Amino acid sequence: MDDNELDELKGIFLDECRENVDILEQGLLQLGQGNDDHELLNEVFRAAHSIKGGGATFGFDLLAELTHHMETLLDEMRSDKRPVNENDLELLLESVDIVRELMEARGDSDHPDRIAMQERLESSVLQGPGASTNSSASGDSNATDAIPAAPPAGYTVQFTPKPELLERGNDPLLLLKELEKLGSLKVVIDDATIPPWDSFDPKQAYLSWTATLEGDCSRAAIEEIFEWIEFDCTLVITEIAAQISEQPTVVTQSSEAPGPSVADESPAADATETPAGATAAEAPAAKDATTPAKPPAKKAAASEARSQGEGSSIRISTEKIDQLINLVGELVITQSMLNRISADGSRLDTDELRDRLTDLDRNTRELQESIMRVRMLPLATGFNRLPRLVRDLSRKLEKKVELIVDGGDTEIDKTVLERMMDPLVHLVRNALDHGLEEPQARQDAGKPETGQLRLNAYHQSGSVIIEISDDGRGINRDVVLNKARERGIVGPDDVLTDDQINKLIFAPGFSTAKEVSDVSGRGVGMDVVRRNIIDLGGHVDIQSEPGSGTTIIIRLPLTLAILNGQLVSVAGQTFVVPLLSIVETIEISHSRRTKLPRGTEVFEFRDAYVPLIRLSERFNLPNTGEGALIVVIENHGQLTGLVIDHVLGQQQAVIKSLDDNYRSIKGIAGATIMSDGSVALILDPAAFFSGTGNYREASENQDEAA
Amino acid sequence: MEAVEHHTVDDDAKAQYLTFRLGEEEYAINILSVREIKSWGPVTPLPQSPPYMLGVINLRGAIVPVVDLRRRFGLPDLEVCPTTTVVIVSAEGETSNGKVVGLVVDHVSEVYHLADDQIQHSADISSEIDSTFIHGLAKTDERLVILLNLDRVVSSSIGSEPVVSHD
Repeated sequence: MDDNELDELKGIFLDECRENVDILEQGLLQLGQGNDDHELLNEVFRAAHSIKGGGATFGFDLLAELTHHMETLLDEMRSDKRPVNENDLELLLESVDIVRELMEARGDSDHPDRIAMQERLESSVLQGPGASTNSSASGDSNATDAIPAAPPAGYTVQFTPKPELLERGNDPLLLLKELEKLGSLKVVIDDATIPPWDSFDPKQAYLSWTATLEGDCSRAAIEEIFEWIEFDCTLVITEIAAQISEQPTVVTQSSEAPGPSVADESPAADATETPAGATAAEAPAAKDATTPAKPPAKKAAASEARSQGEGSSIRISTEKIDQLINLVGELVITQSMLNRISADGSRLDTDELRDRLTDLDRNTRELQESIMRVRMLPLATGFNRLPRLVRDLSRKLEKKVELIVDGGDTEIDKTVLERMMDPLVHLVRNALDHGLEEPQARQDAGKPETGQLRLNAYHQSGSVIIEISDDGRGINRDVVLNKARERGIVGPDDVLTDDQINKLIFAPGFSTAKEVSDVSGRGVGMDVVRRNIIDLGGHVDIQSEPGSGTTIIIRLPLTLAILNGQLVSVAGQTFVVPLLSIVETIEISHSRRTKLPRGTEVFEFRDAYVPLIRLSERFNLPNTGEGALIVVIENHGQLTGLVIDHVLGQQQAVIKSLDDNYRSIKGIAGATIMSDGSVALILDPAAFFSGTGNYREASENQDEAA
Repeated sequence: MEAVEHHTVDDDAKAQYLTFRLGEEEYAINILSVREIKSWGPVTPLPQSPPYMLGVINLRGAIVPVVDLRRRFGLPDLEVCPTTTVVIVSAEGETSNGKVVGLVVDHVSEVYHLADDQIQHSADISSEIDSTFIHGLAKTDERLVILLNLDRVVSSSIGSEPVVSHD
């Protein structure tokens, strides 16, 4: 295998790893909410196990080491040796963070807290489930499990493969040979389960083995041999008592243990089950049964639809691909029909030609839509990050919050999703920090102690709407208005509507946080959120009712790949202006223009002076043209006028980047292909703003325009 | 520079070169870099670009910049005529990797088979054009063709200068 192949495999592993880390994190969070379903525990364990196994294989040793310690703790939970408790979950969640960072460093650098975390995990395993109530029996057995009094003389290994073991390419004989290397081995074969000849399927594994291994080896060494097939077999490893009397180790199944009993699946566990509090010495033999591994029944279900949006790859449902294949099939049929029509040289059936061309038109449009849909991801891929954030934040802030997420299956372009996450996280932080009250304050206000944070997403007329609402204290308009006056954002005599006051929180340099907290209010405020969303071609709005909560409504375009464009001509060349940024188009002859001493030209527009840019000069176009019209464009609340010759039609433009084959040009956002096959350049409105300007005047104008 | 050599060393047989004319001189590029040859058509001019950057064209949905090689090499302009051709190349150098660019030439002439030992690498070849654009010279049938350093030509034209290494 050369380096390229290995790199490719490492990439796949890291992709899977991200998925597994997500499963791990979400599973742990669910466990923390009192869901101690055994299948969930198994799922979490498997995720950790896969990271460990893959990590070791691909040389991410630090990753493997840390996950090994996590796995040990999870294994104890999974096999009911310790109850699921808050401290362990916290520890594991912290470890998940380190795993994530190790993973993103691609094993190049160690994490400063890794060793400390491993030690904490280890000591948690050694101490047993400390504070929990039912610790008497399981605590003891854990202690003895971890520190055996004397090494055992050997082990009996009961190895019962699942019928499908052979289909997965595993050979029991090789495993037994490996086992033989550990000591002297006696193997007894059990052929009782072989079916009659006529129903015998040679691809199935029917035999099972009981191996007696004598020698100085560790249980871990045995487990390691069976590590890769642990979900494909039932494995019971039992210590053979040494002659010297020793403290036997027992799996004690505490009667208060949560979740379904392991004994249901494990015949061996029956033998070792003792009532809580009884001494382990009563057990018939010194036994320690490892819980048989459960079948991987829900493994596939666990990883479904949990794709991670951040890698460069994208996971596409086969349904979408099938749809594409169907459409391409139709396209091929239509094309061959067109061929047939054109081949008939004697007479051209124009009616049929027109029909087929209509088909072609429909096919092409559907194909374009389907292809766009391939880039779409469900919002849940981004929303999944939020429960952890809310959990950590609510602890830090000592607030009680319930997070309700609706519409996670709403699909949105991958790029929009990625670039929307930072603003969204910011808004969620804000809602928790500023919006929701402390439990006491909520009670005083006659509200339930636990606040609600609701995320709702849905499609509406070609846009995606995301609403973030809390039932907190709402915006205190007096405070906001006073602050805005203080900072000169609002003039002392201006009268503003409630809605206008609410919107002031989006003004640059505005932060209502009384003190800068760790959570939010670090200088970058809602204006950054607003700018980010507008940069995505979106729009943000706010509704707030004092005392009953705030809702922030984000409207985002479905995709960044297409924009609604206004075609304009300048000096004979066609340009596309994004329709969203156009405020108005006015005739230059009706405008009152003034030249400033510096040479800048301005014109009067809605009681403000707006700078004027002659596009033909800015772009050094050969003939200067007539310059008959001014297109007024808006960007971050500022206005600018662009002088053009003519307004042409409107068109949906598929954006193509210039720097794919060239480089980016200031003032040009990209290019698009027109219906006649020629190329038109798309203007980048942001490039025509120098960054100076009066926010107050501009924001008023922008509100009128909206 | 890597782009051209790469295809000659792995193979004892002669590599193929496409040649084209700019005025009196004949220039050659490795045929494996050539994507297609188009006749001249209208381009969309780009603002804030050097004079040799004529603009962009639509190549089956991709936006491809078109470089006037005469202007790039400092040769006098020539009126567009029916033989004016755009050679679409895909550069494989470190800085220009994967970039697809159109080169406007007077006309495409021939495909030569050249062995490595027919190519004379020389740092100071006197020619009408900037010697850094030249990879070497080759003699064929009493003609002299100039092998271009395509990576250098492309990357210097689209704005990202390559790291010049003399090996």
